[in-house]
Parts: sequence; structure tokens; C-alpha cells
Amino acid sequence: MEYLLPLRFAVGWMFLDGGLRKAVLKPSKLDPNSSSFVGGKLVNFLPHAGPFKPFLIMTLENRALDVAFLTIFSYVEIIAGLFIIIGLLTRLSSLAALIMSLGFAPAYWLGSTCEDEWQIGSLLTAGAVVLMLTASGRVMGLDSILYKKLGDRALSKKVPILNMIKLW
Amino acid sequence: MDKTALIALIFTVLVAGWILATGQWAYGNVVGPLVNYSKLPKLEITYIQASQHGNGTLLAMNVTDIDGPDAYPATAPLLEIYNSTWHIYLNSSQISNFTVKVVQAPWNENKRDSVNWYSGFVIPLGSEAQFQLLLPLKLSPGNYTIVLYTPGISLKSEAMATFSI
Repeated sequence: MEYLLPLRFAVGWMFLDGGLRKAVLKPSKLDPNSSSFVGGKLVNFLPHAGPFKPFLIMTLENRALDVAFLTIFSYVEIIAGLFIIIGLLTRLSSLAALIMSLGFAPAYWLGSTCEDEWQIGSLLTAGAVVLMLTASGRVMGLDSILYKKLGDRALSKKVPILNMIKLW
Repeated sequence: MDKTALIALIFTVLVAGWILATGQWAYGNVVGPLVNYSKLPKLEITYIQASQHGNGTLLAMNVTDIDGPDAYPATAPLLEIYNSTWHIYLNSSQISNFTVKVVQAPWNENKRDSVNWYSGFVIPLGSEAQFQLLLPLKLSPGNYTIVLYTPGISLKSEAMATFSI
């Protein structure tokens, strides 16, 4: 389990860095009135986005939805990334990381020098799955404290699917 | 088989399936043919209409960039209009000077299509706009072909459309 620490850092930092760039280091990326607004980047995904195209067009044509989506996405990136690195709520954070990795799919076809976006998305998907299944924060992470005090906890005890989603 | 091994196998199949399926979809890297849509730009004329306008010709065409890198826009600094007996080339400054209006697609957001003197048509990946050009020449009634030339790509990949006036 200790050997998963480098993977925790790598997966966590990819998301933390992505969120920090947009929300903290260059906030104009989330400003719809700025030329740096990252929402406009969704336009680039359109030509080969396949089944994701209608969702992208709907988001792009609704500025408020676009801004809200990207703002929430950026802060989830920061929280999930940071939590994965420090090993807090690692399984839940890894599930968030997994969903975000799968969400990159409309951009998988972009990679002018190699298969960039697809490789990033694939590795983050596999990494997030490993961290989620192994409960990697229970060793060399804050989850070790939670686990010792509270034992195994799911998102919900009663709801069938939610009881399979563990917090740490 | 114990529960842990079973869960590991199930997730391995899911992850491998996702990677192989998306790899085939995006790059054809499982059974081919190999593709990379983001290597070279490819403009496409999705709509075109021309009409006589005083002593000139009003040309309205929708142009989009369907392939190429996302880091910088595709350009078309040369435009050709021809029929079986006649042809004309417009260079980037003429394209820029003759463009009277650019109507952006509602999804363009801050990636806006434009014209300028040195690049001609400037179209970011995935965006689309209608370019309205008032050409200072009166095209005679008939069928014409229009080609937008993008530097560095093969002739068969250049944007081409036909129109009647």
C-alpha cells in the first residue's frame, strides 16, 4: 500500500494543478468576459466529440451553464486533487477523479503531436480506479485516522448503490 | 475466486474496455485505420449562396474548421472562384477588404472567427461563422466552384463548394 503514494501524488497533482490554474493562478480563465475564458475551449472539442456533441453545444450556447459547470469542475478538481494527495476521503475523491477523467472523453481525439488527451484521460482513469479500490489513503494518509476511529464508512448505508461507494 | 480478485478482474475489464474503445474511436489504434484528426487543419464550407448586388456579387458562406490542432486557428489566405472558362484568385488582403460581415455561430463564445490582411480567413477549431463578402465584380449567371486554400495541406483536403448564380 505504501507504494501507492507516488500514484496518489501523481493523480492528485494532475487535478489540483488543473483546478489551481483556472481558479487561483489565472482567475480570468473562469471569467466569461475574458479572452482567456476556458469555456471557449469546449468549442475545440466539437468536431469529433461524437455522442457528447449535443451536450457541448448546449453548454456553449448557455453562458451561465458554461460558467457554472467550469467553476464547479475547477473547485472539484482542487478539492479532489488535494484530498487524494493528503489521503483524506481518498476513495470518494478518487471516484470524483474517475468521473472527471471519463468526462475528458470529448477531448480524447485532440493530440497534434501524439495521442495526448486520450493518454492523459486513460492513465488518470486507471489511476483513479486503483486509488479508489485500494483505499490508498489508509496508509500514509489522513484516512488512517478516520479508519481507526470510525471503521469502514459508505456514502449511505441504506441506498443500494451508494452503500458501495466508500468514503475512505 | 475470492471477492477481491473478482472485483479486480471486473474493474480491469472495465478500464481496459474503456481504453481500447476510446482509443479506437479517437485514433483507430486497435484495429485501424490509424487517424489523427488534430494533426492538420481542414476547413469545410457548410453553406454557400451568391447573388448579384449592384455592380458586385454578394457571397455568403459558412465555414468551419473540423480538423487540426486546438492551439491555433486554421487559416485560408487564398480563395479561388472558377468555372470552366474563367477563374479568379483573392489573396488575404482582398479577402479581408471584401468581407463586409462575419456572423458568428452561437456556440463560438470567445473563440471568434475573423478575417485579417495577412491570414485571410481565421477559424478556430470547431467554431463556425458566416462570412459575407461583397466582391467588386459581377459574376455572370452560371455554376461556379469555390476553393479555400489552407497552407500545408494537400489539394484534396482543401475546402471546396459549388454555387450557382
